[in-house]
Amino acid sequence: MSYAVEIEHLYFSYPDGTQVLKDLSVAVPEDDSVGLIGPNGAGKTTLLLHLNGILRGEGKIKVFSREICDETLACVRRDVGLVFQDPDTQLFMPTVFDDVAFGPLNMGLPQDEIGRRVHRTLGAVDMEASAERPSHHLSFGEKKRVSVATVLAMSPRLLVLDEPTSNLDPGHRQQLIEILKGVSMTKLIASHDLEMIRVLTRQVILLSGGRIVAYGPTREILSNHQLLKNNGFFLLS
Amino acid sequence: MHHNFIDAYSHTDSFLCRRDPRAKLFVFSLFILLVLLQPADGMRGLVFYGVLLAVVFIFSRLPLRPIVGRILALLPFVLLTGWSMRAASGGLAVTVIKAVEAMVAVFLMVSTTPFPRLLKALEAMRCPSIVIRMLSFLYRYIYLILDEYMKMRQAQLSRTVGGRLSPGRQAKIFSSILGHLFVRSYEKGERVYLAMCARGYDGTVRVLAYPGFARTAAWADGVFLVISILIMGSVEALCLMPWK
Repeated sequence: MSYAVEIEHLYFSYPDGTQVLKDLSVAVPEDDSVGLIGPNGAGKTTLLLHLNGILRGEGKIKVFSREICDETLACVRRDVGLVFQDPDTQLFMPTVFDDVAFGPLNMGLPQDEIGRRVHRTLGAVDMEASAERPSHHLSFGEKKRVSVATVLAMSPRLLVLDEPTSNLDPGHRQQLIEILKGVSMTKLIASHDLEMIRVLTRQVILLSGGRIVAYGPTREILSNHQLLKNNGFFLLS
Repeated sequence: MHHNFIDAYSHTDSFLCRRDPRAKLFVFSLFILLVLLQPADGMRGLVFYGVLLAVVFIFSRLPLRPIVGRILALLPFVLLTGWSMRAASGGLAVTVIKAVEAMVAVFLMVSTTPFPRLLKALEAMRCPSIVIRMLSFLYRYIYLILDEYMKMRQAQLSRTVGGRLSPGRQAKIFSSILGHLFVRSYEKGERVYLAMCARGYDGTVRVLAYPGFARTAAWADGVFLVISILIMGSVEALCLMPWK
């Protein structure tokens, strides 16, 4: 079996001494869709930031069989598309078009190809009509969709999403879920939205205190209420 | 929260709003250059340029209040600079008039052009990409920082009970808000940098080729350019002529 992500004995501490990831080992198969759940402070975002080399802890991380190091960083960032939780972090250019074009431009693609990709991906998230709008004039739901487009335009092999449905109203949440359903690449989705995880993923990793507590089929883990309760998920009956 | 003070008037239906940003950038830059290059005794030229600005302002259909407010806000700096260099620049009045005319010209250009299009025009005119990138970040994040400020201010007001605060207390709270704002802006900057790195940014600023503006009124832009240059040339010629 080929893997999109292979992590072996990963440790990470922030400069203030807080240890966030402790001896974490996990492998995500290629073309799979995996959810990452866990309470606040479990280390979900920290783990995601390791997948494209933004954070570098102790341990070994391979992305599509390529170990992350200075030499492979550019290729890894081409393969891994990371959507941040806060769309105001993800969208930093003056217009929607410029934002979606930022990644393809850094990949060194020809200008006409960049234009095609931008229009295609904005069309895929139903935002093509907003290409020339400034990002700060978009609604929160629109910003989230454009954030996904900024990464899809780079045609990554692994799509990593950090809390994609947080702060969205039910309508925009459903719209985003439908968009993500239509994306056919390896997906790793960190979220507290268990319903969305149930719909979009086949496997789930349960992270708590910087360690993997469980990793298995989504249905199995989400139906184990005792396991979820022990790790900070209080489900309404 | 929605702020729009930069682009508030850029979609007004006026001849100036409809002009190509490159043409406006060129004309207004030339105008400012000519105003600043007026000699120390060049009051005549400054009066002509002032009249010209007033005419353009009337046709731009922009409101008067914001422009006066912005000029008044900047006037202390102008006065300070003018005072310090009054001997070299021909007196305080000349410096102040030059500065005010330049400010009005910048206001007319920026207010009648959506900021992203102004940035595209700068790109097209080969302005260094690092400057454009800095301006684009400023444009993108100034609203977020303002939002942060307003949220903190609202939170502070919501917990302010029992009458008016003393000026000293208000100043203390304001400085505390500013401190938090600085830290949050710094942290936001860090996160944005990470997001840029995640999308392949390696320190090299790359810009898209100029996509081109709508060509529907290219002739009107040409006429605007030619007439503007002719008028400014005429003003310069008038200034060179001796008084009778």
